[in-house]
Amino acid sequence: MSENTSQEGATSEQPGNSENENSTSTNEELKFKYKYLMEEYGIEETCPFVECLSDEKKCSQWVVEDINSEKNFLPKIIKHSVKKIPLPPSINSSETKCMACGLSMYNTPNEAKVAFNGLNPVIQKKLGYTHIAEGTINEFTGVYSSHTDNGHFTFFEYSHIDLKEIFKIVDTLE
Amino acid sequence: MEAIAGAKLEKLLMDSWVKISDLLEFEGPLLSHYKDKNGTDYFIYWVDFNETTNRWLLWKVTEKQIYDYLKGLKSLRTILLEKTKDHVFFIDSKGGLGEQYNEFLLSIPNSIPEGYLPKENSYYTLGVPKKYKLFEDRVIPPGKDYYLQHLKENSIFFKLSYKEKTYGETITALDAAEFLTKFSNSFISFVEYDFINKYKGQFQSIESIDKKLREIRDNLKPRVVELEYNSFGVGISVDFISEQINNPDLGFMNWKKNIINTYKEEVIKQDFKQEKTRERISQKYEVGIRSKIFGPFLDIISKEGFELQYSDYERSKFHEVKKLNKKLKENIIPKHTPEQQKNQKNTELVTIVLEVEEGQDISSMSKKEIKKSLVFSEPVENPKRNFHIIENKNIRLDLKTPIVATLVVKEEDQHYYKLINEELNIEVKSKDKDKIGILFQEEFIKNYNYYKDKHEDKDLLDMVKAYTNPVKRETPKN
Repeated sequence: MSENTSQEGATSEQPGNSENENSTSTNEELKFKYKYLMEEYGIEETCPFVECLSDEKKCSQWVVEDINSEKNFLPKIIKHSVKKIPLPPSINSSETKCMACGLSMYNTPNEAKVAFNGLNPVIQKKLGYTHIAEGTINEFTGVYSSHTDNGHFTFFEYSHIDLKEIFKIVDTLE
Repeated sequence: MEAIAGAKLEKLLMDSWVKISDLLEFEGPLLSHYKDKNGTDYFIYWVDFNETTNRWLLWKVTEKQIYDYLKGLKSLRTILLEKTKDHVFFIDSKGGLGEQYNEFLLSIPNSIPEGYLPKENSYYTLGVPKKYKLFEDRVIPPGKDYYLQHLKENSIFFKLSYKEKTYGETITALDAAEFLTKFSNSFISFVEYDFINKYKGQFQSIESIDKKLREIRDNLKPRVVELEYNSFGVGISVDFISEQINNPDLGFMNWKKNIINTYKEEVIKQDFKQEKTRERISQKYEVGIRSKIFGPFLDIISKEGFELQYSDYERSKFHEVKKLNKKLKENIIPKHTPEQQKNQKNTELVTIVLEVEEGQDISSMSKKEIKKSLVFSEPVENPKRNFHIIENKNIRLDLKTPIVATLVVKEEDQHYYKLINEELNIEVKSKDKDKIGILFQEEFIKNYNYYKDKHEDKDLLDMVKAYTNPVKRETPKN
């Protein structure tokens, strides 16, 4: 994944959006922010998964202290490019590719903290996260996968959404 | 990435391995549990990365270790450091697990760099995942008290004896009881102090702190987890397990787990003969708190002819608690000044039974009339007061059944009254006996107003309703 892709990810004018420029505003609003990545991988038909949910729920994510930082709220694929973390080539099934186009979230700040505290100090430092942010997602912000036993799930945001406005810092990671 | 000492392997046969679960995740697995074809369990843990490589640490774990970790009893760090394995594997991977591996390294646990070890707070406090519930039956042998075992492992073991061995190694039951009572009082006072010190910023009001303190006092009462009779020995611990799944606040859970050791460091291990120690304690703890925490403990260690030793659960080494003479003790816990002693009057509560005309207002009776009507009087400890009506200037509640509150009179640093109803979680305190009843009613009304519209605590709401439903409400006439 190139740096160029990363820059694209931070804008709302994604390559995949152009074909729908004349569609209604409602359709525009409900377009997934990273649809162009799904198209790039050829998984736009199956991603996000059909079983994804859209009910209102609170969720938490690791962030850096400045909530407006461009390092926050990036999908796995773009973030790995920014942070120079090698992407496992196991991202070769449509499911893993799809998950990489979404954002890792937890149900609660505590689940976010337990996962972070499970990392060793070397990785904690390299990732650079310092805080937990909490926000509420719903049918207007995107859809999400069901969570695993440890509270982790993947969120696929719509293109008009700015998560920096929805999420607030609620705790520190230490 | 750090260079690791070890032997390179051509490959690691993981083809037949089965992934049981990703226990921790963020954009993929952070810690996963695998089983090999023989049923041996392994943890695979993400330990490092650079621009080209992800590094994983793989080691063998026992079912008990997995269970202890998932139950929140042991941290990931503890599990990794336990000496249950003689080798570990490092996997430097340019591919994902189960895909393409670059390099396998066979190494020994001592070669794991410190930075690769998770921190002390690496507890899993999210509750045992459903798929591991059946695990519990296999891990805990029938009849084994797992709860007790974990409390024992987090205990302090005391050995009490007399210098004179007239009665062998035995001590009197009274001395044993006095030790346990004084230790408990000192410990609970320390728990309260430490909790307030650490968490007061998280509470909106004095009432909410008080409520939490009542829960903590109850939950963290010292528990006897072991007894030894050839010379009296007792292992003491506290519950740090039962609440963690219902209230998985990681910081709070760690605080609870460590509180007995914090107490050991701060109170038991101190050498009170050292002037520096006494000075530090005097500066850190104001006199009232100091007497509650250190007073009972210093009573124990300054008792004539008494010897006290302590050790940890393993009991590999016993440490003697250093004795303290009366003068040095008073240096830490000053006695009341003569002026304070003069002002202190001993009081007691008595119930009196009067024979009066039906409906007569007792408050308007003269001393002479009271004396004439007196049938008998007797001392009473913690009398009950019944509230048939609860009211303030805005509301009046005619209760279906009276609320019974216990009156407690305290004369420690200062004289004050308390009215307590534990069922409703109400405890009010005042120096003024006329105000204490008013405060109690205000507190009930406050809770009533809060719970009648909110339903978070259904049990408490039901309890409040049991007293007030059907409620007759009226605004008092001016």
